[in-house]
Amino acid sequence: MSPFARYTIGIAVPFLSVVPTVPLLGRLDITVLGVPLALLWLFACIPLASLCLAICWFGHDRHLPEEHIDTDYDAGGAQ
Amino acid sequence: MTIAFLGIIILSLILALFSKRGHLHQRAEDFFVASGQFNTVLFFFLAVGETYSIATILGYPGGVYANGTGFVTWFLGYILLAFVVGYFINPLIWRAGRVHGAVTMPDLFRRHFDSRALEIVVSCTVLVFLIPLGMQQFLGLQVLLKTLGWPISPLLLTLAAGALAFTYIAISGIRASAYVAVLKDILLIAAILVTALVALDHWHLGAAATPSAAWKHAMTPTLKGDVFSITTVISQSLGFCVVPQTCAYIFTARSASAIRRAQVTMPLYMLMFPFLTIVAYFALLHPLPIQSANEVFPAVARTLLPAPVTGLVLAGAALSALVVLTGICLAIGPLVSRNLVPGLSNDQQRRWSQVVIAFYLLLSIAGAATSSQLLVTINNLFYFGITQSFPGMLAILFARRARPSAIIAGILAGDLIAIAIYELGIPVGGVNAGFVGLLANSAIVLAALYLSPGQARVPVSAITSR
Repeated sequence: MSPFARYTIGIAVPFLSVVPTVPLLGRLDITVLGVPLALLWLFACIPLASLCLAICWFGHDRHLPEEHIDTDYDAGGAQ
Repeated sequence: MTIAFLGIIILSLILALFSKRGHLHQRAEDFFVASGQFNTVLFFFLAVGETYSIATILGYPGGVYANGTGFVTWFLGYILLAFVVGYFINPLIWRAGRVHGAVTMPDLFRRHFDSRALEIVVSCTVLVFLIPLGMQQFLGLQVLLKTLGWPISPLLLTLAAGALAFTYIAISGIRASAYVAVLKDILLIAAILVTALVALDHWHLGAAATPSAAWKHAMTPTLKGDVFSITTVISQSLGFCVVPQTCAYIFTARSASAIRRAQVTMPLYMLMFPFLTIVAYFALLHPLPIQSANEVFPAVARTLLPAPVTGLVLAGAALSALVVLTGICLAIGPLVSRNLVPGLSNDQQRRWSQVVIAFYLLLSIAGAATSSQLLVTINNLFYFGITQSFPGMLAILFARRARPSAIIAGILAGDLIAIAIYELGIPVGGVNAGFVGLLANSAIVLAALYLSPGQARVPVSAITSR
């Protein structure tokens, strides 16, 4: 996965799904079973955000080498 | 109800004692950040625990009850997007912590920039803005303990709660906090689900109330309200990464991938919010004995659930305050014993931290006894100040030539602007005061970076591990 795709899926999609989409949907006088559409959409953004991060994890970050940094807390730095 | 409540509290103490197994003689870094040994599961419960603090359990339904769904946009929006930002930023903060041997966030600033002044400014800012957060937990605890109906003075009960939080910390520091967090989260998920589902089942019982005119007015979208929502979501989702407790939790993680795995699943934990919304709407549309908005959740639980189940629900909510409180305390202790008072030995840091924590708990109890602010208002105030460390954190992670003096100026300017706007009621078209401060802060750091670059340093994002 390219860095552009990673940041688009991982950051841009979740952010744009919440701001400005939710306030804009709040302007519509639409309800589903009495619940405002903006609220339902915001609740739908919860699994959507997780899905976006899962795509980044399985498509890119899972394949990164594990970082090994031994730390010396007294001296204040890596050994 | 009392037996169920006390049973859970005793169980939490047993878990805290269990967490000490194999770590009888803890060094300071083990006490505060578990020597960076936590796996994905323990890191997840610690970090996500912040999502379900007392501000969520009491403040969120209270906010919906008092302000309508406009409030939901920013409250849910910022937490959800904080997990997204955290997926990308937190592994880098973890790397910075490992590289610099950091136990606290100011450790990072001092060691990366080699600046004692920056360490002091960050420590003091964090300390000042963390004080109301402890108060917030005790305010929530007061509401919960009142629901139990014990004939004991509220002050005595909150003192007992403070003593309990101190006991968890004294047993094994962050390890006890993590183990109790597991119990708290399981209990809380069950509590929210049971209360909401029973509320749905009882929806048509009793005479239906009508929301007040003020509430209906709050439901009508306004440009100012939308601007506040958007700017709050942006500034607080960024600020969430530099909350001192969050940093401490990040430092407990064993690896960067443990953090990323946990961050992927964290948003799903928010699926409890629709159920909390149901509880708030139930309270709004049914006649219930509610004196203040903060009482919505315990009032619905007490009205609808059998007494023993209410006891379990209240115990879960109380543990949420106590676990978050231990996290705050464990962030504050080393700020003083490690950052503000230099030169203490490893053992002295641990012991002096406990003195600072005891003092902080007493101060928060006293604050809660004399305040009755809406819990979510305290949440906003906290983020005004804490978020101002974000440009400095980005400089640690990505900038080569940032000046520590510019970061100090940015933090101070951001804090002053945010507080001035809030306290003096300066009209900014609905923009979140912390967001205005953050813009000014970022402008100062960026201007210095391009107009007067400082000494070259390797940013943490450019450091490769072996």
